[in-house]
Amino acid sequence: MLERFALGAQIALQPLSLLMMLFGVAWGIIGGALPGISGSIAMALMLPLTFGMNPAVALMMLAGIYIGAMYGGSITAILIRTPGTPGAAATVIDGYELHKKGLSGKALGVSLITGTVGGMVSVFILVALAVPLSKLALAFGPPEYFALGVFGLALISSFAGRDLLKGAISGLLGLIVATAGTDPFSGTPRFTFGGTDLLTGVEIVAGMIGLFAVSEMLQQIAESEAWAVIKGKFSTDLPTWVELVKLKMAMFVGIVMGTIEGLLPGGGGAIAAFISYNEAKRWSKHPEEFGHGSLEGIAAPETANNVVTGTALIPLLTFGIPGSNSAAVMLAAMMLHGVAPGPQLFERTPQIVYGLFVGMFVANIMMLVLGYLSLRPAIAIVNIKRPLLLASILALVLVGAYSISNRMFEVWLVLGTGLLGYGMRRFGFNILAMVLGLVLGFLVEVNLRRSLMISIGNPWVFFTRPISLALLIFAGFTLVWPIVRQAREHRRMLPLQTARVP
Amino acid sequence: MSSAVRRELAIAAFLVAFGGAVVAQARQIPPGVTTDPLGPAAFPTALGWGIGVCGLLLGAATLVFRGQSSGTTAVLADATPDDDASGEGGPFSPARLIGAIVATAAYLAAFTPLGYLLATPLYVVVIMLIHGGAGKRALLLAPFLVTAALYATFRYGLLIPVPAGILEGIVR
Repeated sequence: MLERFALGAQIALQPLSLLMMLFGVAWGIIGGALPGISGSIAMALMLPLTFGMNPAVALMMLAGIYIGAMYGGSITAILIRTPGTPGAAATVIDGYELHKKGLSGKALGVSLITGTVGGMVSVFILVALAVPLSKLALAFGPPEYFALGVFGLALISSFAGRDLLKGAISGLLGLIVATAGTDPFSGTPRFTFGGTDLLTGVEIVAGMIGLFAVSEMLQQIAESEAWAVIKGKFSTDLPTWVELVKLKMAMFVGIVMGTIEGLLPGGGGAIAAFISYNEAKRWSKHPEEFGHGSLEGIAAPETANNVVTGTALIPLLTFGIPGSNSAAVMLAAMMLHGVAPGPQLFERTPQIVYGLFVGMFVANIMMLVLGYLSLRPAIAIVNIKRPLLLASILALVLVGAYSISNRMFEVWLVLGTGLLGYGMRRFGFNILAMVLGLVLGFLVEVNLRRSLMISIGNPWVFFTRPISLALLIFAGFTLVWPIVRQAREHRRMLPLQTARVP
Repeated sequence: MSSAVRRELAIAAFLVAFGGAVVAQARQIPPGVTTDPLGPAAFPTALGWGIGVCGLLLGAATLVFRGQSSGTTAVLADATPDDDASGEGGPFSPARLIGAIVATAAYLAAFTPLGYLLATPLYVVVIMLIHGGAGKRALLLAPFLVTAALYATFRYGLLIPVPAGILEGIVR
C-alpha cells in the first residue's frame, strides 16, 4: 500500500502535475464563482484540454477543478447572494448576512478554511473506503458487472426527483444512443445510417459536453436575467484562531453529513450542505445566530460540500458508477484516456488512482493558498459581462469539440446533444439520467450477452451467484424506495391539501 | 386543455413514434454469431419498446393527472442531484434561442471553409449581440482576444491544428 502511495506521490508531485492542478484549482475557483457555471460544467469545459495529458495528470487537474469550484461557489454566495454552485446554496443564508455587516473576509475565510479541512478529510475517507471496496469488486465476473450496471441504472430513480417516468425515459434515451456503432460481438453496424462517422459509436465526451455545457449556455441565452454585481466595500480579513476553534462542532457535523450524503447516490453537495446547516444549528450553543450571520452557519455547509468532493468519487473509482454530474465528467475523462474505472483500476494502473488520491490532497492545499490570493481577481470575473462570457465559452466548447478527433462530426454532435439537453431541461427530463444510460449502456449490454453466452442462455445465472443476486436486490430496493417514499409523502400531504380546498 | 397538457401529450406522441422507429431500425440489424443467444438486435429492440411504452405512460399520466402540479411537470432543480447549474431562469426568449442556434450552425458550417481565425471573431460578436451586447469596446476587442487566446491554447499549447480555411498558406 505504501509503495503505491509513493508511486502516486511521484506522479502528483511532478512539476507538470502541480502546474496542471494549480491551473485546475484556479479555473475551478473562477468557474465556481460564475453563476451558471457549476463544478461539473467547469470540468466538462476543460475535457478537451486533457487530450495530450497523461491520464493521471488529467484526472488530477479535473479533481482540482472540482475542489476549486466548491470554494468559488461560495464567493458569489457570500458577496452577491447568488450561489455559484448548488452546493453553496446553504452558504448564502449566513454568508450574505456577514457581508452586509462588512465581515466578508471572515465569511470567505471560514468558507475557505473549513472547505479545505473538509476536502482533506474527504481524501482520507476516500482512501479508507475505496481501497477495500475495490478488492471486493475484483471477484466480479460478467453477471456481477451486469447486475452492477443495472444497479447504476436504478440510481436514476434517486436522481429523478418527482418525475420518475421522465427520469426513466431519459435513461432509456441514453441507453439507445449507447447502442449506436459496431456491435462488439458480431461486428455488425447498428444505427450508423450507412455512414462511417458513427461506426465507433457516439463519442461520450462530445455528448457530455453538449448535454451539460452547451445546453446550459443555450438556457442562459434564452432565459437569462441580468447578473447581480458586487457593490460596496468589503474586508478581506480572515477569521482568528479563536473564532476557528469555536467552529469545530459545525465542522464535525459537516464531515459526518458530507460523508453520508456523498456515498448515497443522488445525495451530493447541495443536500449535504443543507442537512449539515440544520444539524449544526441543532447542536450549536448559539442557534439564535443562525440566519443572522453565524460563522457556524457557513462552516457546516462548506465543510460538508467539500467532503462530498472525495466521497462522491468512491462509487466511480471502485465500481465505475458515476453518482453525480462531476463524477460523470471524471468518468468521461477516464474513458477518453482509455482508463477503465472499476476494480481493475487499482490493480492495473495504481499510479493513476493513487496519484489522484495524493493529487486531491495537494489540490486542497492549493485551494487554501489560491483561494485567498484569487479573491479579488475572482470578484472581477463575477462582474464580467455575461454576453462576453457566454460567447467565449461557446467558442471554447466548439473548438474543444473539434479537437476530440479533428473532424466536424463531433462538433455537430456537441451542438445536437446541446439542443437535446436544452429541450430536456426545458421539459423536465433529466440530463444526468441520460448520461448514466450513455455511459452504462455498453457495460450492461455486453455483460448481459456475455453472461448468457457463458450460461448457454440460462437467465438464472444472475440469481445463483451471491454478489450478482445481492446487487440485483439492492438495485430493486434503490429503484422502489424513492417511489415508496414519494407515495408516503403524497399520502401525508393529501389531508392538508384537502383541508385547504373550501 | 392547457398548453402544458398539450405539450406533454406532444412529447408522449413523439416518444411513441421514436420508440417505433428504434424498433423498426433494430429489425434491420442482421443476426450475429450463433453462440450469442440474444444477438445484436435484441437490446435495441427492447429499448425501443421501453421508450414507446414510457411514451404511452407519459400520455396516460398527463391525461389522468392534468392540472396537477406534480408528476409530469417536475423541474430540473428536483432532478439533478448535486452540481448542475441552477435554474435561475428569466423570461424565455425564443428569438434569442433561435438566433444562437442559427449563429452556431452557421459558425460550424463556416468553420472549415472560412477557417477558425475568421469565423470565430464573427461568431463571438454575433453571440454577444444576440445576448444584448456588451459595450462598443468589448464588441470591438473581445472577439479578437478570445479568438487569439483559444488559438494560442489549442494550436501552440495543445498542438492541435484548427482549420485555416481561406488563410491556408498564410497561417501555419
